Amino acid sequence: MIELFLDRYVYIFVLALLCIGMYGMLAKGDLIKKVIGLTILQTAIFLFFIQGSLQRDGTVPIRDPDIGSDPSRYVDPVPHLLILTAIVVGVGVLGVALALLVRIYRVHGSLDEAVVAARLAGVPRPGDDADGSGRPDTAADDGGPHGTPGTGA
Amino acid sequence: MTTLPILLLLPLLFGAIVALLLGLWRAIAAQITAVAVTATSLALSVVGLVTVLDDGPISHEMGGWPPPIGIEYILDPLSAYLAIIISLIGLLVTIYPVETAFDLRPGRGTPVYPLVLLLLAGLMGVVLSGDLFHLFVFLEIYAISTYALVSLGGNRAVFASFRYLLLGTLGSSLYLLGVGFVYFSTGTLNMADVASQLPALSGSPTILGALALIVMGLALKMALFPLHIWLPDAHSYSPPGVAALLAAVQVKAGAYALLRILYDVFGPAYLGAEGLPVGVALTWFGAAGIVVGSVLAIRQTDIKRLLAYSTVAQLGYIGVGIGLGTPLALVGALLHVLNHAVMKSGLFLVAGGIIQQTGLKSIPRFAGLGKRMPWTMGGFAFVAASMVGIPPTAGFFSKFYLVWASVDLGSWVLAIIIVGSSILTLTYFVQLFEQIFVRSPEEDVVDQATDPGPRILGTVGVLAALVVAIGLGNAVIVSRVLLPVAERLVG
Repeated sequence: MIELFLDRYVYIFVLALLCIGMYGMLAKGDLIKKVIGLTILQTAIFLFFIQGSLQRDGTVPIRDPDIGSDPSRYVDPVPHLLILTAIVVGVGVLGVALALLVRIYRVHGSLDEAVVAARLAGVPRPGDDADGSGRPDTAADDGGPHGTPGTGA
Repeated sequence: MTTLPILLLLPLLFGAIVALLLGLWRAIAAQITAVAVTATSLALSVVGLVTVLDDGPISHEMGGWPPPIGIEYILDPLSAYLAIIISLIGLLVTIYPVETAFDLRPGRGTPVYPLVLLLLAGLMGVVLSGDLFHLFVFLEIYAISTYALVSLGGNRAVFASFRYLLLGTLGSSLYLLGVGFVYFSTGTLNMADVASQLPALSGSPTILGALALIVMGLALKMALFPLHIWLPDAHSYSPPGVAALLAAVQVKAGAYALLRILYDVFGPAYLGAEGLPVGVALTWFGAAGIVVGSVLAIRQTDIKRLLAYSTVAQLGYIGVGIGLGTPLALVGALLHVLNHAVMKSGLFLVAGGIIQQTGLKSIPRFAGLGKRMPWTMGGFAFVAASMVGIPPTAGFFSKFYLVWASVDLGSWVLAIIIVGSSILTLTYFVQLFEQIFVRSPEEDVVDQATDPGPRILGTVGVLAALVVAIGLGNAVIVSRVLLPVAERLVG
């Protein structure tokens, strides 16, 4: 029993991180905390891959003449490669998320989901603008305390 | 010509960079680049489809490393079919006037065409990739450009885009976790190689877990009910051109990935009695999506929001087709991918035309528009008829195959849902038609409205013509392309 736990305990942590991340993403009301939850979730998956690549007593995956080509003596390099790519992808997503948050904050002065949603709901719907001839979204765009929004993501 | 798969993808990727640089010089140069690149892609996709129908699938080894070690790009009839849809809709949206398509205020040099090309490149990569992890990378490439494009539509769109980003990333994370399970069980990521190893692992809980994670992740990406919650906001607040791209091709990439992985990688061994009831789940969630999406669409007064909820319903049909899993059902689903791409992009581009000419989005204010914008509304009527499923338009035939497939399986409830939802679809378009064609103009903006310029009328006209052409030529498409594809996937 204890051996099983010692063999697998990393996966329990990964599972815990996955749950924390998903909780943060879906249940927290603060948009920044949602992004943090997202990052935790992604990191849990990265850890899962890295843990899976591990070989007990394995070494770096560069062919060593003393060891030969026995694959069980080397760490699996493929998950590392995949995760390197996935981290880069994750950074891209994080960048876009933060850019969107900057814009939301500039317009609404808040990063609370309920506040932002209420402010957006309070502004007249795009189709109902009074003069009908202007840009449909200008009503929503001029509503913020910080004036005009940024140039966008 | 083993380089053909990569030739479909690279022009779009390099075109994105070229469009970005040229866009710094002249905005129009970026648009011309985008049109040229997507047109090239369309031509190559058509050539590709003809070639693979005659000579069989083409596989390209990236960097000269043979699979399963290297990354493989595969062009087979299914991916060529999707590639044609993607590049066709891409071409029409890039021809469409930029200010209307992307809600750009004059004088702002927002580089939209690089993003559009990146989006198309990501979608193209998804349909061409023969590697599970590579598919994830392309899922994220198109997703990231989507988030940026959605946020162009103003403040509501920025918030919708952020919510979509969270759920979209959750979807691809679940997919990645599932791929991890597959990799640690089989030691490979190449789809064909995984498919050859999975039958030996039949019943393994790890693989079943992987299947569940991948299906959930991709269903979130394709917005299958009840994982559609991000779609109505993202599609209705984004600019019309972006909404057309999203509804027509972007959600279809998720549907394609689901179809490909379920039938080509996991295969019947994991979908039947021994595995998970994925097919049953997709079928009934799809059916629920059809009903819920249609009912919610009836209640909308904003034209783009109506179209967005209708997309939820139409994706339900595709889910039903994938879930039923007989050759006929898959033919129906794949034909509906094409039909819905043509119809929904047509409807969103018409909505863009209305917004450009009148600034109106609210349906009760459309009264009398048909008398002032006869050509636009005529095209709209054609495409909407197809959405309802009136023969001989395209929309009739995909529903026909789905009804046939469900009757074949003895599932009368499903057949009734599919036919009944046509009546719901009819309801919301009749409401719209009554405003547009029967009433006389009440507002000044409507009274002074005219048909938009040739670029809007042209793209809408092409799509309206395609709706009829696909309907009349559906026998050719089905017998030459889709039926062999479906039989190979299932058999």
